[in-house]
Amino acid sequence: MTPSGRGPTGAAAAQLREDEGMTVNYAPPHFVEEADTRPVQVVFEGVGKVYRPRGGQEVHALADVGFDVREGEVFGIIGRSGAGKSSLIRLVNGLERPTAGRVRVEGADVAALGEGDLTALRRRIGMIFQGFNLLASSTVEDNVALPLRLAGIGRREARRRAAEALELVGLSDKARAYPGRLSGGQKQRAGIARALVQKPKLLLSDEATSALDPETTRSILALLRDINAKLGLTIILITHEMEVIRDIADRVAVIEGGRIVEIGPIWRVFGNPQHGVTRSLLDHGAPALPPGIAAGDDLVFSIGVTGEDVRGPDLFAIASALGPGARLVHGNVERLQGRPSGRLYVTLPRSVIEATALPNAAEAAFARLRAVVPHAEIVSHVR
Amino acid sequence: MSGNLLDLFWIAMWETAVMVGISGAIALAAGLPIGLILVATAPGGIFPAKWINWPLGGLVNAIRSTPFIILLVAMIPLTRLIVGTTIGLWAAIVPLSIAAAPFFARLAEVALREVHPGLIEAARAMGATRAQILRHVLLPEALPGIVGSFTITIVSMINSSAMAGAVGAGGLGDLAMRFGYQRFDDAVMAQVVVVLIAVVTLVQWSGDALVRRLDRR
Ligand SMILES: Nc1ncnc2c1ncn2[C@@H]1O[C@H](COP(=O)(O)OP(=O)(O)OP(=O)(O)O)[C@@H](O)[C@H]1O
Ligand SMILES: [Mg+2]
Repeated sequence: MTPSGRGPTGAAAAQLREDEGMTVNYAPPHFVEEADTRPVQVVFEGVGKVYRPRGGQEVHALADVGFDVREGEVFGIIGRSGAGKSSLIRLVNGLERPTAGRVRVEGADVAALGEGDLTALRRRIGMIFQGFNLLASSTVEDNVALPLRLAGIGRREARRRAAEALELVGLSDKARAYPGRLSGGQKQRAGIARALVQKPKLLLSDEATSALDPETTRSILALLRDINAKLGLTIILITHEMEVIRDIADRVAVIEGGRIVEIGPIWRVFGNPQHGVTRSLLDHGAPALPPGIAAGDDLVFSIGVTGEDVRGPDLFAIASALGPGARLVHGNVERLQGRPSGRLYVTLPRSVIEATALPNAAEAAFARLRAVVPHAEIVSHVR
Repeated sequence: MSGNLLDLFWIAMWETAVMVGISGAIALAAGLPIGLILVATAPGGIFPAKWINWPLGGLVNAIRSTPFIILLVAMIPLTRLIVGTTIGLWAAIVPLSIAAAPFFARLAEVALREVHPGLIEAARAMGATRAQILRHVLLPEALPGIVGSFTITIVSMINSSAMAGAVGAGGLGDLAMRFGYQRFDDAVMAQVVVVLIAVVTLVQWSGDALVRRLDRR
């Protein structure tokens, strides 16, 4: 089950208001996906990565990875621990080199860059980390100024620009403090300021909120979303927290055993996950229904609301398909990227089916339901 | 204590201070780069190079495993080559420095190795060169540990300097040996020991205070 509560914003909200209007919208149920015309910024081409540790066994961390990330996009990467997420993101700024294929950033093959060009590229890519990785021996201000100092910018100018970056992340009052004195959320803000101080076009985030409590996580995500909108910054974001992806990403790739097993816009991957790993990461557990319903006297149908139809599930069609006695017993529909997403549980008492006296009444009801909502299943047993 | 003996005490303390001070400075100047090189050239370091790491590590181990009194004697030809004499203060400074530099280098290496690898990764990600990683990440982050290591080195050098009497360098240890051991004057020996305890305590206390000031964690 998925918690709701986040209101849709911007265009999505406008769409929602329109949908909720009293006028009946006769738009076709299946929308044609708009092609993303933004220029491509990062491209993975058949990328593989094999680690050959000294004296250890080879580790095939990535295999056959191909996708691209567009300018201004927030691209999420999810997967279990050890799936290869960090390996993948570290290829983007050349912290690791692929053992097969190519990673292109702004057209350039990262692994083929000489030391000078790689340094220049890294200065155009910000990175934030789970452990923040701030120098304990420097003040927040000097930490944030460090990338500029490394690039040969004078102390005064570096401090001035660090102050701007700290302003952006709302940490100006801690400029002179040492990181040891900051809370986790403040440390990550400092980390973000440091990543942004060179005005990069791309931000890499490897589990940047994993060490933070839920509320701090939300504030950091709000900050990232704000920066994405304000600066048009592309963000590639790794996490194992589904909420994070749901809140912030445009598209998501699910990675398992070093391969991308699912990729697409959030509403589709989350609304209608195809791969077992995605499902288990999303934890589509069955709801706990009261024993009277779950005991098996009623037929329970589970209807996935998958977002292909922007308007949401057609309740009249569902009710008509099942006939009298159908009840909505559990459900959740929220909006992801303006599209409905969730699951409804509808029951039909067995007595109603038996009353029809037809041999396959239950199957027939299910077939009628499938005709109006393609993502329906019979749940034989609900906890 | 007679005025004469008190003078001897002051002279001995001065000799110890000069010996340890100069050798300490040399050990710092030589040991810190050696420690940095050992960390940087180690496998998985920022500049992995076995052909530097192994011989250097081997040399450091060889010197560290040689007892100081043997080093003192074995170094005589080298000492003559460097300072032109084999007795006196300067003759002690050469072996003391040579013994202390690898000792300090190993301790500094440990302090440098303890710098969190995430910091190096972050520096690489922001486009730092290897030299910049040394200068802007490893050294400042390891500084409290390095100061602590240097304190230990100084204390250990005060200890070793007692043996420097063997090459006629004088110092507190030499005083204790001549009066206490050879003339059976237990009082002088005890006094020297008390002074040594005070000096070592003062050094350790100052070092700890400095570490506390530097450590911002
Ligand atoms: N430097 C390395 N040397 C050898 N093996 C490595 C190295 N880095 C990662 N691996 C291995 O590669 C695989 C993928 O690791 P990776 O760190 O990319 O996973 P991840 O998805 O980021 O996991 P987590 O969620 O735990 O951070 C793992 O099996 C890991 O043990
Ligand atoms: Mg990881």
